[in-house]
Amino acid sequence: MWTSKDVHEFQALIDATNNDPCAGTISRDKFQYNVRGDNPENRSLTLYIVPEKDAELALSIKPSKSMAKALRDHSMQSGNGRFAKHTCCTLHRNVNIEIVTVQAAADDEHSNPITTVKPNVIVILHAD
Amino acid sequence: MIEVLAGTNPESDVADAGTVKVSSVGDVAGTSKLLKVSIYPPPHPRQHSALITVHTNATVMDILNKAATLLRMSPKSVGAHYLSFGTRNSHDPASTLEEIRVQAYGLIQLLAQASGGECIIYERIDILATSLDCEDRQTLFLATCGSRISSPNLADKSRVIGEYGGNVEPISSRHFDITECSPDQVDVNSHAKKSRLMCIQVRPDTVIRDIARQAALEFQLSQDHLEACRFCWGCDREEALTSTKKLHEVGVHSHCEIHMLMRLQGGVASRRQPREQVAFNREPCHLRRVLHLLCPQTCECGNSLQCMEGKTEVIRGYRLNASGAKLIATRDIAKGDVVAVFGKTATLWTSKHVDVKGCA
Repeated sequence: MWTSKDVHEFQALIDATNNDPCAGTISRDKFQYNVRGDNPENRSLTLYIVPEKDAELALSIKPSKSMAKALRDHSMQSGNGRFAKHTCCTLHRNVNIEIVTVQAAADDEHSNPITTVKPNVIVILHAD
Repeated sequence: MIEVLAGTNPESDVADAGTVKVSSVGDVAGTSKLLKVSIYPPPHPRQHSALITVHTNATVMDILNKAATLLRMSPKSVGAHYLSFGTRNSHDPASTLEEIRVQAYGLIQLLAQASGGECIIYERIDILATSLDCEDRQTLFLATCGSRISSPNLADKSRVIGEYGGNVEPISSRHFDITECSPDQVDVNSHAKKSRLMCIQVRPDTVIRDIARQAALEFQLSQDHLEACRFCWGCDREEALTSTKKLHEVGVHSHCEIHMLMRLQGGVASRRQPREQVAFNREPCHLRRVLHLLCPQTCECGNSLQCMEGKTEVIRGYRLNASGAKLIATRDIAKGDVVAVFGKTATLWTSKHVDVKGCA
């Protein structure tokens, strides 16, 4: 769980990087985006889903230990949703970003669940 | 699909799973008879059978509405079904059972169109359409089945199994395993749907009445049903379900796994349903979408990650944007389907009261 201090640190990191006139050149990358939304299973929690490249960028700037730990603990799910082009135009928008829960359970030979369901939160693009 | 099997003769009191069975329990006012109707849902929904009582002057629509209520079908959906009786008598929704002559053994079918547009019709099974009552049929079945639950094969069935928590336990000679039937025999059993099997683990000091209560809970049997049932230890040893005897008193001495065969009064039975998997797997896909849940990998709908593959492709170059890459669709994608997923994302959790500016 992040504290408000961590959140502000992350926000400041993004602002500092993206507002840097040198960012975006060969030497510096910009943060692309992150997705903020409610936890599907617990509305009292807000989630920040940081794409792989942005997490790598944040780690390269040497954040605090707690933030670095959270950024390194990434999902094992592979995907290329980050390459979707963003648009603010509803006319041309054809996908929606959504935070969903992935559950997994293993079954024994009698199709009975034998493992604890482990939820995992990811961001997907839904066809609109 | 629902079949309604009607009969006023208690001796021909037979029915299949997936049927509605009507059996007479007496006359009412000299003009109509009271019929017990067991309604069994189509095989796929997660619903249990229900027992209702109607008169012979009950109309077709009455039975349809009762079935709709019990099976949680909408009246509109019921309207899409149709009734056909074994007598092939014409009828309309206002026709009573008496008018369409469902006085003796008859067949009423409710055919529901499956979601995929496929209509499945179950044929009436001759083996159950005989005048044999349930007990006789069961005995006949057990004698001719040839499986491990049949009488000739009951002897010397002890065996030793291992790998149950590291302990080796003897399985009693009354271990019945329907899965060891030959394919044909299994087919007969499941097709006839006259034996309902359950599997529980009990200890020798367990009272039979307690086992019966457990079975009643699993089968959702009423007390009336329960009193009409018996436990059958291979047809050579039976005890009423209300018996206060312990298992070792009826010849079961070791801690064993017993597949008990229950004889229901109406001969209603089916093979034991597999235990429920995780509720998550049973929820309809559209419900999972509403709950922001992905379908499991085994699901072939558009809400699973499995079906996401091949829908999109990343193209690079072409001066598309600053990153030089863009996600494009390679085929038409249905609305609501998962298009792509953000890979290897880090999730940061925070409480909602933290007010930060979005950076998307």
